[in-house]
Amino acid sequence: MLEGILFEGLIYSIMVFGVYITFRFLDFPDLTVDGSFPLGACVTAMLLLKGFPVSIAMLLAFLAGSISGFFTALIHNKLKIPNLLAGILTMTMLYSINIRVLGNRANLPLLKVETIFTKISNLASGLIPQDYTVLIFLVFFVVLTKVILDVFFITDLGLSLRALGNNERFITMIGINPEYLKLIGVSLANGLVGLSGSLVAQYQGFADIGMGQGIIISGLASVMLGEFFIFSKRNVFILTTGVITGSVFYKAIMYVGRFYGYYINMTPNDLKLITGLLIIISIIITKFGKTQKREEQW
Amino acid sequence: MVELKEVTKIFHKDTPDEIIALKNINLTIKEGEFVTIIGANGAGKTTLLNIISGSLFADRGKIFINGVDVTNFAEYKRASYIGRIFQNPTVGTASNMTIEENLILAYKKGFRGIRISLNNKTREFFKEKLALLELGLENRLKDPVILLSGGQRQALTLLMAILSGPTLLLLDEHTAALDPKNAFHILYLTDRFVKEYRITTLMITHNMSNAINYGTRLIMMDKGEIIFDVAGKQKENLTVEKLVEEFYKLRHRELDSDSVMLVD
Repeated sequence: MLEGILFEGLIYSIMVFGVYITFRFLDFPDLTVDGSFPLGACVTAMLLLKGFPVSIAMLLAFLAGSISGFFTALIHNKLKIPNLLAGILTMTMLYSINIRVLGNRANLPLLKVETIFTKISNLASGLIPQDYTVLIFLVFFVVLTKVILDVFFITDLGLSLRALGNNERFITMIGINPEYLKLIGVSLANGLVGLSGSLVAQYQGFADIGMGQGIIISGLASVMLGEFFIFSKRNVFILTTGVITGSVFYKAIMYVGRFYGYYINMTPNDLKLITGLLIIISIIITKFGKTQKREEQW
Repeated sequence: MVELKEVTKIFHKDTPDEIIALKNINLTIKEGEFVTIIGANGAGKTTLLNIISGSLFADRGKIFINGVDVTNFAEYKRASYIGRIFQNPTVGTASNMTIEENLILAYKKGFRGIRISLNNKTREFFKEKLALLELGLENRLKDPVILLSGGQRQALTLLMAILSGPTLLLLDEHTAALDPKNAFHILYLTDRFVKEYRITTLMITHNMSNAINYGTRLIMMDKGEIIFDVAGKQKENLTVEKLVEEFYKLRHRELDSDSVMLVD
């Protein structure tokens, strides 16, 4: 159970980075995620089946995700569609596109196909248990992504992206078109989501067009759980650490629900309800915490 | 430097609520001039600044900055020439980010690439500049702006505007939301920076004595028109009484000095 929590928590944390970027940095609640996540999975599955190398498949999954994010930001910018609706539009259209990508199928198994995980576990076979090799790889992969994002968000471009969600007016006043920043930010976020979808498809051994359902909510729940563990909202390094922690913690809660839920008559079907309640509870606690802090300041 | 040619702006055009906010304005501001603008509420002062900065577009007329026709330039494009400060101290900064992050964003104006400009060298530079504000902010580089008071935020916004190297500074009642002590300090800093960097400045104020004491030129607006415009010696000899008298002569009605203009 423990390695399952860690594996899934780490794989999904790449997606949570994306959700964090849109929700917290850009203040652009982006629902494209529910479509770009399975898009990444479908693209990867199809390419692997066609015999493309794993690296190309994952790169294209990232790109496909970015393009869907770019599209959302573009229709938001140019047609002035509210950001929530723009995301829902892209997400809905992606449902059909994902079926097309899979060759008019609803799912595609990846048996007998070499994935990043089979490759990695064979890498050091005999020396250390396969599970450990995979775990080491995932930790390395997630930390690398985290470090790249950490550095990116202290560059001049990264700083302006963080300021966008803070004060859009300010962005205009310092001579930047906020529309460009939205294009860049939402593309980057959905690229990460697509990459995470790619890893999930390879991890569970199939791509399914339904696997994106509710991803945005689980991402959001992870973000909020992560925020419990961090003490400073100013430092990007700590923020991204919170994202990983939150993702693993969220998966832990889901596992516990799945394994021990039957004691209280809970079934896996109730997990979405639990996720929603988790978000609401998180919001209540943060609201309560905030009012307390404010009182301290006075 | 800044030139407005027959600029007209009408709100709610062709409706019963139609308001002519700017009526055929012709205005030339020379380089280095510090213009104070006074006028009752609804006189068109803020609309004038909005038209120059690009937050609003004129219905008719042309706007030139440094000889460039910017009439159709989007606000973010004009922002490379313009520094702007509003009455509300929260508008000019990204409140959840630190002082140094805000400073670097303003200092490196315009679209930026993937480079890390915030290093120890720029930090030293910012410390030096923050010390000029005389508010002790030079020791709080890593503090988020949200922790600062209104006066400190407005001082920071002023410094950010100056560091971005504008050719034109637009101040829209930037001291009106502050207590008298902070308002005085911000005005003192504004005057000092404007003189030191020789920035062409337009400052809206509701305080007539401030309008008279600061700047090199004074403009009075009423109902979308510039009704009074003095500079140089003539402005130096101006007093509040003379200004009120002048308004009566021009408009043949009382200037409601208590509700609209603070005589101080």
